[in-house]
Amino acid sequence: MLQGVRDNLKGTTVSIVIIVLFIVPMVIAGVGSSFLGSVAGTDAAEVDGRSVSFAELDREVYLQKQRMLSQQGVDPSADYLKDENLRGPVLERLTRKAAMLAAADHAGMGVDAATVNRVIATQPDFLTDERFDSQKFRSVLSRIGLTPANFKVSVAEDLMLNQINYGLEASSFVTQAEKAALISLVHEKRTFFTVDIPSEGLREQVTVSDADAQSYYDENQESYRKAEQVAVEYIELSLAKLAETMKVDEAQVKSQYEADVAKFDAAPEYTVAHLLIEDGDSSAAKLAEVQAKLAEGEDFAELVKQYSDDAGTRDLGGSLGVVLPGIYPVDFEMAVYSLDSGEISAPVTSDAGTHLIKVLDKHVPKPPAFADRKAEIKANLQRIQAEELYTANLESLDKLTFSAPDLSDAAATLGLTVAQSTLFSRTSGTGIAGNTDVRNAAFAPEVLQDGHNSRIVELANNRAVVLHVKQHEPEHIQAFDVVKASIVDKLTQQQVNEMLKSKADVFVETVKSGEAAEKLAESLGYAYSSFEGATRSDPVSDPATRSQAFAIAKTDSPVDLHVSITPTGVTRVIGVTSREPGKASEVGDDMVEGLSSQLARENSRYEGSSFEAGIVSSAKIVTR
Amino acid sequence: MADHITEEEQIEALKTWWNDNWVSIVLPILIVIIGYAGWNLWGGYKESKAAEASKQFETLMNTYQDTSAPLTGEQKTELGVIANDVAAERSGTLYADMANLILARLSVEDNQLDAAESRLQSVVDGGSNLAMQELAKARLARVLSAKGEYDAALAAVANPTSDSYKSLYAEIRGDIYLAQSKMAEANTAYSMALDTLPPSEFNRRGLIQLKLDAVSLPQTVSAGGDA
Repeated sequence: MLQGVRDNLKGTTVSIVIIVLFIVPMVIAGVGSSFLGSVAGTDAAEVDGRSVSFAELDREVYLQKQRMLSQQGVDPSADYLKDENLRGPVLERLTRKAAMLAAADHAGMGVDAATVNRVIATQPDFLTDERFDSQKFRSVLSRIGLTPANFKVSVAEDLMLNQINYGLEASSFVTQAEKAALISLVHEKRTFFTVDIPSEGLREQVTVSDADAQSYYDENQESYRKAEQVAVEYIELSLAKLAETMKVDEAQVKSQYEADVAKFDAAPEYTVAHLLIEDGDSSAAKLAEVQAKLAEGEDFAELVKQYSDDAGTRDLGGSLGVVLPGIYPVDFEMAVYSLDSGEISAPVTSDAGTHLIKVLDKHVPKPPAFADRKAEIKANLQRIQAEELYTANLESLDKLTFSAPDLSDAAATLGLTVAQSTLFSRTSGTGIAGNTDVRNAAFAPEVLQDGHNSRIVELANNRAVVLHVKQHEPEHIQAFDVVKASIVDKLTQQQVNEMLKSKADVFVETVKSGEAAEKLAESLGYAYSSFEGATRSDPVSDPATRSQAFAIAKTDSPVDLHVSITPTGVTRVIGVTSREPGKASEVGDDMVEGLSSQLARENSRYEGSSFEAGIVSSAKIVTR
Repeated sequence: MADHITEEEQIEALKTWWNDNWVSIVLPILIVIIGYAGWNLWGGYKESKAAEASKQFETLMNTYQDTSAPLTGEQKTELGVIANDVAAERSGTLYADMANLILARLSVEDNQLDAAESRLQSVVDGGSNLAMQELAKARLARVLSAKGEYDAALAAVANPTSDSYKSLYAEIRGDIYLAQSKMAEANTAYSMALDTLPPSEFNRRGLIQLKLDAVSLPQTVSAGGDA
């Protein structure tokens, strides 16, 4: 029979039939796009049967980059923003997500289309006038390289992950026993004292011999390695300096000043207050009353307090501040402009009612005096003149220093001086070497090794520098003589610390044997402080000491002691004399509930990430 | 040889061949088509089941949206009803597991520790994946500890199958020992929790360190500042 089939296979009809029978279902069902993808090599990773395509990875890398670039102060050329450095972490994130989705899929999760559509239709990004705008929807998607179908899938995926998060969060609990334990821990009170061992006079008792210092140096040579350094001589061209040398005569300054004065806006500035009477049955009578009282010479501010219907300014004497053109109705504004300082207007009507306006202050700005402006105008004119020369000098500087053996000729021709820098390394320096571009120029091979002048380095504020390496110190281990003083100092301090430690130990032993700490400290001249019933967060002593006090182990003796060195280098004995666990009854119900809901949230967050790690660790992940 | 026969003879031969062999041609094709259709139906069925379960879970989510706020009495009742339905009708899915976890929480809040225990135990035994079972185990141990059944609690969090829960389990063991005032054991457990905590979990580090400091042993003060 097989022979028969094979013979018939020669017929084209039959072969077409067979192709159709086998291939068509695959195409229709889209059988394993992941299978096809892995054959075609378009998958970056495969996770439990789900695939992460290269296209998806590229898109996510792109989006991640945009997110990072949108943060302030990011250097777009930084290494960590390069695609190849972003790919790894992004792929890792995508595979983790794929593992979670595969697990959700296997565990019977799936979001229905109606919910997905509802979520999409309410996303603010796709709304125009609070209604879903399908045009906008498509254009937003195409901008990030997604089709509506792709996008729906990703929304469904996010909803599913959200459901898992919700499930873990909404089910998180803290038992009564845990609440009590938490309060007793967080609100524990301890009474403790500190005793500082004084170090005065100890240094004088210590001697460090040259031999000791030498042997320390021999053993720790590596730590005295000094990075490569250079010192340069440089000439600096600066627009500001150039401007100072420009000659500007008095007449020029004067005419510039006159031009400025001509443009000066001398419109007066009014500071006003008002009294408002809203329209109503008694408004006319009220207005008459106020006007009568004003005529009698009563204080405007007092009357405002009594009569004004403007609640916002009533208690401020009716003050409206400075009148800016266009803010108030035209009639109001015109009335103001007709008044002088201290005058009160006739009644002015507006939509709000009837106003009486008082000008508290009329200020007519005066143009600044020539003497005050002279220096600034002159500096400006000098700068304008200098700009042209600066550009020209910049060009000559480039020509004069290019292929010249040093900087002296250029400096002489341009009337500049050659300055010296101190030594600086590739990564840091002071003065001119504080600038990265200057350091890079100094360490460039053609400057450092070949001894050429650098090209022009342009700095901020119109400054430019050309430099020449004057001194080069390769990386080396500093000589003993150079570092001897610091070694002696270090060894001295070490011995002092040992002496302090042994004094502290003696103190601890004496207290343990029953001596009262305070008395002992007093007799020895040590500084003693005590803190009664302090909690971890009470601002007593310093944070490091407090955290030590709460970490001291409980012993059988009445005082639990510990010797530590504070961040500022003080040798300190800490003694805990009593511990009292926090009690719910003392801290109040609100505090208990607040703390335990905080703990419940933190627990579910932590459980959630352990859960995810568990899912990922049991997923089969293949990356290419 | 086919070159020597006429066209009529060719057709005749084809007919005979077809009569002899049609079964062995048509049958596999039928099987493939039926199988394919069945698979599709099954897939569709599964999908619609999942979608239904998801919808039900979404209604559950809507009854209690802000999970950081405490539950009101009304929410407790509603949540309980829907979660019971989800747990009963969607068994074998993560939805049912999460519903059981929520029911356990409701029981804990009403101080019904036995009921909470049995809900959590059911997820430990029948959770839809290992990660979920181990999560439920961590919570089960805490409920057992609250009931005073320390040995059973310790046994539940003795050893996770996957490394992902190692630190969490160790921390819970520390809490259980502390509840029994076994300081040395608590110290060991908390130390292990710190050692196995993944670097990405810096949020948790402070809390574990706090617990460890509180059970520090003589000569092993662990907080910073020591030179």
